[in-house]
Amino acid sequence: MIEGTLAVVLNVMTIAVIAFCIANVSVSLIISLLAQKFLAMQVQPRKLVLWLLVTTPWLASVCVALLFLNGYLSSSVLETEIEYVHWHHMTVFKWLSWHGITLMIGVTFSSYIIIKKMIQLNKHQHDLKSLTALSIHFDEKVQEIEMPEVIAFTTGFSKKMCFISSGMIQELTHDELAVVIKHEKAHAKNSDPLKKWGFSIFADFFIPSLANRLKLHMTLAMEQLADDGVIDDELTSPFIASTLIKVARLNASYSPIKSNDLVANFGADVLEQRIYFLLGQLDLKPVNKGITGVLMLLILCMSLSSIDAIHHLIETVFNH
Amino acid sequence: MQIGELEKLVLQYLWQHKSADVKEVYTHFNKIRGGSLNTYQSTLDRLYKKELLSRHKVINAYQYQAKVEKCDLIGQLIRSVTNDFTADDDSSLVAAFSSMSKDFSEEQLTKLEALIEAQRLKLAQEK
Repeated sequence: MIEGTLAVVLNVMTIAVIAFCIANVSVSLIISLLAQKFLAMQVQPRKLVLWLLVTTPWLASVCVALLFLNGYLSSSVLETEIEYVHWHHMTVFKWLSWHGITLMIGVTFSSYIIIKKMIQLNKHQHDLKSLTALSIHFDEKVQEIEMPEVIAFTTGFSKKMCFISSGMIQELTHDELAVVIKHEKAHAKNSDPLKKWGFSIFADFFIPSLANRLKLHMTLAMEQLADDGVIDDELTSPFIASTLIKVARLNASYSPIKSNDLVANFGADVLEQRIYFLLGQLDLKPVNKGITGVLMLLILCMSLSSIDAIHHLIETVFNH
Repeated sequence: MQIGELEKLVLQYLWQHKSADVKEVYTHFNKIRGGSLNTYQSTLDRLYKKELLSRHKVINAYQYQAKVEKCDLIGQLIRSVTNDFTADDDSSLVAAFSSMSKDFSEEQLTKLEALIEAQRLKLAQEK
């Protein structure tokens, strides 16, 4: 049994884990109900909303933990004055209790996600160095990969690099190639690989189907912004859209077209959404800041007020 | 897997020459960029340990061959760089020009092309 300040810290961490779970479930419900509505939002605000959604469980858990800590440190204001927000035996912590097990599960899961991401990043960096070594300089910050497939992508965190396959260089006209390179350089300018990776860490704390949906929404927003960055007097939006279609056709010729299941449909929607966006066919609206703020506040209040209910519910079955 | 600059050169040499022992590799590179026999021996060893080369003994020396073709290795690296996330998801570490483009039908593409053409005509009429 642990007593004193360390016990307070560990209890507050347990509270943070529970608040995180409540906020996670709440955000998951919002995503499940409103995911299609995201597509009607303007791109930049949509990105902010997506970031807000994936970080809300963390923000909620920190806020709730700080409120409990403040309540304990300032003469137990919360325990005595607000009855529905309290925690029994704040100065006592047992590892072999539901408090301890909750904390261990929370820490283990978080460590698993972070270690997995770090291993992936390490492998990615090594493979990227090898790929860079085997590629040829094509243009400023653009490397050519010798392969027949039609592929172009941008990666790298501090030193961003665009890769374009020789197959793509051969198949596209000068202007079409300019579209692809400008698009990839827009990703590099926006630091999209780094942001995408950061976003995926937060998203991985949700159930996989929701995490994938969130990542696809973020991918779409990033692609739309990169497409938007290509438009100028010479490279018009219909021309960029037709380049997208041409690349899509070339990609399809290298691998069989998949049957459309749920994910594939959404994948198809990504291309459709990009084309509609480029052609100005989407009636994108700004995000309603009031509703967004109220929703976030509701999640915070729900996390805060549910702690005590969950505490009592669990303790009808388990002991401390 | 990380491939250094010298490893890349040695691999490219073996892709061109199919098979060589350390002396042949050393003789070729010594003229171009210098370096000792040991340097090339350890480079070949590293590539062998990375499973990029195979080797067999002929009398007292190993003959090295590239285990993977250049396009296969590049393909492997691209898959790893662009797909080290989850199997059914777009990679989180890259931003690709047309990452979703395999997932739709010819019919959808034709429909989108018609839309683009209509937009083009509209823009031309406005001018």
